[in-house]
Amino acid sequence: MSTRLYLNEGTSGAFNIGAAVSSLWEQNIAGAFTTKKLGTATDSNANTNHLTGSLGNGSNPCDICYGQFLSDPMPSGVLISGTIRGNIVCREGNAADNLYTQLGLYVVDSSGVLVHTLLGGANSGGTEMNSPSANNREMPRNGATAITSYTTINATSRIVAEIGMRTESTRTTCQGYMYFGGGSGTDLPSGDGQQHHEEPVDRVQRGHLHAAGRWRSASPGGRGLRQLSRGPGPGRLEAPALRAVGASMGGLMEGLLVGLVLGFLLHEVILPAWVAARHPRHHGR
Amino acid sequence: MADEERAPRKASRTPDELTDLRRWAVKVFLALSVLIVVVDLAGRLFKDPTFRVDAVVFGLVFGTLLALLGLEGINRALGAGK
Repeated sequence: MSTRLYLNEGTSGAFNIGAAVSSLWEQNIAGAFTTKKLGTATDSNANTNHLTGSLGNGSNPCDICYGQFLSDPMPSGVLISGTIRGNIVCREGNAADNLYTQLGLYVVDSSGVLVHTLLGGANSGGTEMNSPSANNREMPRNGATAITSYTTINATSRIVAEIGMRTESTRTTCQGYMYFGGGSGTDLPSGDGQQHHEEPVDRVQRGHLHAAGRWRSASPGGRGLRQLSRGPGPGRLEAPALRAVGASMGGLMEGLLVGLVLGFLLHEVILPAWVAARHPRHHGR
Repeated sequence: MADEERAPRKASRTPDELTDLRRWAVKVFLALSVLIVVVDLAGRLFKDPTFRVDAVVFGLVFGTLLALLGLEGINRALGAGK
């Protein structure tokens, strides 16, 4: 199984980070870093067409942030690994804009400070946005993309998704259209190219965030992230639970091995040397 | 006669002080083991349910204790036959 996360444009995040978490972006649209909610359920608010002209800073490439979304806190000891994929409706105003979707995915602490980069953008492959009609595009641009794994160490970490576009041109007048919000329609199908009639149904879908061990609601009533995944599923690493156990057992085994060596040295080298130094008559017998 | 010619039994090469020090080392690491278990439990009960003493620290203390106990056991087993 996997987790599907929605870009709830109509709901504020638990707190406003107010700045980019990553160093991925060279530009951002107005209000991009007013933090919104990244939810496991849609808030059913209408999707919005975020249209911005004059994008690009003259350098190729240029990454432009459109929005920042913050999840509920995750429980401690959760392994996040596997792949992430999503879909969004978007288009470019000019075929020379060479716009692609861009995604950064991060773990932040209770203050919104970066703890771990799960995905620092995807910079190659995929399909350029269509012009003039808005089409469904994968986000990250290559579809399912591996993330660097992370195990939460407390119950305050959250996931931040920063979404946007990347122009692979030196134009400074790119026009980017991106439709996002919770929406009330059906989820977009995966894959590039499906025409979507400009109907603003635009959800990040099939985000694969794999949990290990006990992944539970952070609080009764479903405030926290709900059960994410158990058992095998498409695109995920096998046996994530074993990976989590392995991670903690690794530390224990490392400590045990060092401890055994330390104990041996203490018993057979350090203490005899100490006694020999104090009583030279025993030395050399 | 044969008994008189037999070489006198060798005294233990381990000084008493070394034996004492080794026993003290075992006691110290035993106390440390109990301490970190108590800290771990107290942290979970009174501070934060997610509180954990680091696995490396657990491994280090228990590994050292295991090595000391094992070597002491071997020494005693070998010494018991003399």
